[in-house]
Amino acid sequence: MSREATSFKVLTEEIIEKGECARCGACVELCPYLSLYEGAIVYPDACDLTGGRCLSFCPKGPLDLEALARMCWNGPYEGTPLGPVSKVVMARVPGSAGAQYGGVVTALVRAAVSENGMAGALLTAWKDRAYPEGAVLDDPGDLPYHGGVHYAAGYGLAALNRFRKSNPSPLTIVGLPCQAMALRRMHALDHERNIHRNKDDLVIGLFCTWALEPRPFREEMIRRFGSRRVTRYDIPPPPANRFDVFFEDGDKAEIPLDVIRSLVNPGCRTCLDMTAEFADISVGAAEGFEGWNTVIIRTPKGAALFERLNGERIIETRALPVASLAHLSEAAAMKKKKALNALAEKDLLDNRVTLPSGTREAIFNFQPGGGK
Amino acid sequence: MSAFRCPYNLIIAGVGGQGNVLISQLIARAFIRKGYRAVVGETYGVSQRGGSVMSHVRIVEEGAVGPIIPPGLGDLVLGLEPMETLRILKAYGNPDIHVITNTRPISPVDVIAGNLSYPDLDAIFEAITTLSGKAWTLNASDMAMEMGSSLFTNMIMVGAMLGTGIVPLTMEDFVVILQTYAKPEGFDANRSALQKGFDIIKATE
Amino acid sequence: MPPRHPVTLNEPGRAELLMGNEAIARGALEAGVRVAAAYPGNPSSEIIETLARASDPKRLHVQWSVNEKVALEVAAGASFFGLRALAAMKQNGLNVAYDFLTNLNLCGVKGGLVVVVCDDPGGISSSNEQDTRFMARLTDIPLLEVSGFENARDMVRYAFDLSESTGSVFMVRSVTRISHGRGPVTFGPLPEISGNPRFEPGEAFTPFPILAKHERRHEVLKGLEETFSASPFNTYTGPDDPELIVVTSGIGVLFSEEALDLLEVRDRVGIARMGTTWPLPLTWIGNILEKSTRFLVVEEVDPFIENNLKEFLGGNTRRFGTKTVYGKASGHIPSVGGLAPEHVIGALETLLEVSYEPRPRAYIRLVKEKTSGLVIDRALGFCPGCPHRASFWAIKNALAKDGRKGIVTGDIGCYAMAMWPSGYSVAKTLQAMGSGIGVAAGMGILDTMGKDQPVIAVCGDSTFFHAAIPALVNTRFNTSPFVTIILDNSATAMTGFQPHPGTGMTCMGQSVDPIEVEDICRSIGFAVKTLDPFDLPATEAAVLEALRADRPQVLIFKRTCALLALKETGKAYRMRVDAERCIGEACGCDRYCTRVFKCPGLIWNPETEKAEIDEAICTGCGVCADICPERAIHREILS
Repeated sequence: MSREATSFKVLTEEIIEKGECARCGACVELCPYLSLYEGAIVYPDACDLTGGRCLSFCPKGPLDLEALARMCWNGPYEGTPLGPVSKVVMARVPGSAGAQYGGVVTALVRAAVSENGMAGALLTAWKDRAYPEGAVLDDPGDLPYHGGVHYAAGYGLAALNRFRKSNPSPLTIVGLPCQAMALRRMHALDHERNIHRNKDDLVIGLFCTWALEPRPFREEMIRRFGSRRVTRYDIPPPPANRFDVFFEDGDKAEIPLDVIRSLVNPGCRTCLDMTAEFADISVGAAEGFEGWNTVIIRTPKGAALFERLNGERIIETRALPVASLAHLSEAAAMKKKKALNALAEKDLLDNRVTLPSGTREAIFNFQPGGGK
Repeated sequence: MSAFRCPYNLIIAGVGGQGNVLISQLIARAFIRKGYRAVVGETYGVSQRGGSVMSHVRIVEEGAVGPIIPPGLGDLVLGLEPMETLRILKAYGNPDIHVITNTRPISPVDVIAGNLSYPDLDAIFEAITTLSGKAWTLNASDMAMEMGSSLFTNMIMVGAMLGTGIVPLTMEDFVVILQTYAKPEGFDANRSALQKGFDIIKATE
Repeated sequence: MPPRHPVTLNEPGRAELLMGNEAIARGALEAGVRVAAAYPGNPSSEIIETLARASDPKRLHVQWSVNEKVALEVAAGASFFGLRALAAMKQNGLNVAYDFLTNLNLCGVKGGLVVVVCDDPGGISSSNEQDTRFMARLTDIPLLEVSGFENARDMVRYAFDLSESTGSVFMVRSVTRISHGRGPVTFGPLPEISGNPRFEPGEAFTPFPILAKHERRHEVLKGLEETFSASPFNTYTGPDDPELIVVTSGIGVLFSEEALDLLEVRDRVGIARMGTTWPLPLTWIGNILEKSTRFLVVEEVDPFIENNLKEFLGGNTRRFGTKTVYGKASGHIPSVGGLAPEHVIGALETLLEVSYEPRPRAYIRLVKEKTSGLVIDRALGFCPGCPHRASFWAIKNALAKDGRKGIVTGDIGCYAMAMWPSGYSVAKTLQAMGSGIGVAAGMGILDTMGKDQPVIAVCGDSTFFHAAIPALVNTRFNTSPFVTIILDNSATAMTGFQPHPGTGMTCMGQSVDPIEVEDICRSIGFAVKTLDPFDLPATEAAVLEALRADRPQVLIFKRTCALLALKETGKAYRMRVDAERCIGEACGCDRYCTRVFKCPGLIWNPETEKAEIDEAICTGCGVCADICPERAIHREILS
């Protein structure tokens, strides 16, 4: 008699050890078996349960995209490059100096946490600049420290698991596409010990083509710069092809982007989502428009928040040029195609990730400038 | 008293920490004092750490006998734990064997951890009865706990053995042994435990 | 036990039940032993423990030495001054002492010097199975084998006399079944102790000239062939022309006697009991070999007598003609493991074509039917509250966090169980005393060749003094980056809490300044950190930090053995599981305390689906409170 593989076994042997982990953090700090240590998930002991929350939350775990889409969009999963879109605009905070791009994420978070019932915001930051970590902040005054683009997958949702053990309130959560997807699975899972079920969290998604694997990245940084303290990183738009490191003392260093690419989290290669399709509202850089963000408003909740900021003139908006939208769609479609190929190569299509029929063809047939 | 045939093969079965080794010595000493020769064989060492422990006590009128009982030749099992009693019957039992067993189980590590279940106790007692010529059961552990410590279990079991009358030792014989070899501060309690085991068997006879 | 163990009483004629090791000690006392030394090791430890009860600085010095080689050296020192001395050890211990012994044999002795070696057939409480009798032959040392309790006492006395008269160190071999069995011994008188130790002018004990001394050994053995032939320890019972003779020694003697009785074949089979097995008692054994054509050799463990008999027969074919020797080589007696009565019964059934079944067939069927599934195994594990459990918990977690698939090299002691689930299966190598550190040193140096897995060596406190110090010095000298963890539980716990140099007490009851493990490590040049393994977070952090260092590291985990602590100070806490908070098997715990931590003081109650504390077993160490993910286990401080 064959026993169903335990959730722990699938998660550790099939996902983490096979380089599929997105490093979103959804599976850790739920139990004593999976925890975080210096940028990696560690698991000294094996759990022998099936149907565990860890695997059910995992964005790389067995996943039926159609079912998830129907659950959170009330619509089908069609494989369109940008996912469900209510509106796409460019936006920025007038006169924002500290923010890396348009400052819109910071503004959205500040506005969101001030709404009724919100306990604070979950963001991912570089704690002591060693490894990124999630943290829940209830005081928007703390935000500037957490602002900035971190480029590394930081297991931020671990902090959510920790937070909810003592506080059931909804949060504003800023996350990568994998984290937005994990959050929707966390909200949906019908499990007696699921502390995230039906939580009215607001999800602000970040555009992401890939993220860095924390431990190798850290090792590379130590190898190059020793213990020098970094304040932020930046990838200037093409054709710069470099990764900029800004130090506390005002210095700046450059690393060839190819070096950095070799440190990309391997799990990102099978990710279909560039624009955080499962978020309420997604934000990324507006390429070619320095100081501006591209914002994809997806849900009524996301729209209401955005309109509030707009109405209060905290942000200003302008239309996204057609060419820019096409370019964004093309990039997102490219990520989907590459991911589909990678999934097929690893024999995970239909097997781990199920797409509705015809979606695969729709993704491969996507024509820049044409289509939706 | 039933026939006491030599070599008489007595097996004390239990779990590390139950004081198995101590009572095997006291019983052998009691026989030596009565003019018999007695030898004891036991598993030692790592068995102290949670494993099964058995002591063989062999009594002869004269001459030498090996410290280990050959399979199938047990005359009496003094079982400090029910599953251990049955373990002994598997190897040393025969249709005439006598059994006196404590009824309180001690769980193996795998049962404590929840990975295995302790075997069905009623089935164990049924097997013990079926596989022995005569069997006596008593909850010596609970009686000992009532006295204040599970450490008295083995002395209650010895008392029960004396109560059955199947070995040619009397309460007085054993009291002398306690006086000679046991710590003086524990004498009264041990003697009282011995009496309790003796009485409970007498009451059921 | 009363304060004065009966074994030490000078009451000739008194019959007492003695453990085999006590009988050996009694034999030494009756022989007038003045110095006895050993290092604890099952199944030999009780010899010194018994002699210690009779110790007295003026008459009998008894010591736990730091290791077996030193113990034998101590005994030899006394012998060179003319006193009778004994060194006791288990089979592994003889290996440690063997370097000295292979020189001592040539040097000769003055006072009778007896080495008692207790072999552990089956490795019941050992890391190996070894038949040390070959080592006596290898070193030209006379060998006696005890086969019973009173016999053991008599033989030790005999060994002292002959050792002194031949100027040879003697080896007496016991085995677990005798050393740890008990039987009646009727006491002989204890001699008056007199005479001062004295080293005479002109005396010397050196192996030089080597060849002459070697030659001298052969002469002694030659002489003993005849002495042994007249020895009361070699006896024959049986017909004058039996169809088979059982030649046996050690525990094989009593098992063979019983087999002959049970099979009722005394009229067909003779039994030759050998107490002196090296050199062969040629006259006596020659007579035995002439009595029959078929021989079954019953001995533990290896074919020592069997091979020696075959060698003797092979060299005297004209005298003996064709004889058949059955035993290990023929497959009639198992060639590994301890002997049991059924082995001899089985061999005789085959050779004599008789059959024996003590139980009716119907009963055997009933046993199968009635016990099926009702008897399950009892796995071994650390005791409740054992500090080693906490230590290996921290080590396991630190290795996981480190993430480089590090390994642990194990060593000899209770903590050897770290290779099994009770110690989370972290230990991956185990050899001799102290070799965990030596082996780790060989692994550490591989870093320069691309090894990227860290190594942790564990070593007990008693083991540290026994054999680990040279390996640590080597580690420092040859810079091998690995982590040494001394598991200091202030006891030689595995063998029964014998004192050692770190405990500040000798077995004669003298207080001495304890030698600190930490001081020794510092003096070798290590930065040492001492931790309490019950402080899990600090211990784990220290292991992680040490794993990241690029120089050899020494950590000391100091916490008294739970069994000792319970005796000395009692429970520190009453532990309680808050059933409301305990989530049992649910996702988020999955019986973490009972299933993973596995302290026997914690029980899983399948009815309530909660963990519970077994008050009778829990020692109140409090560690489980820190591992419960739901903080459902509480400590209540006991005064």
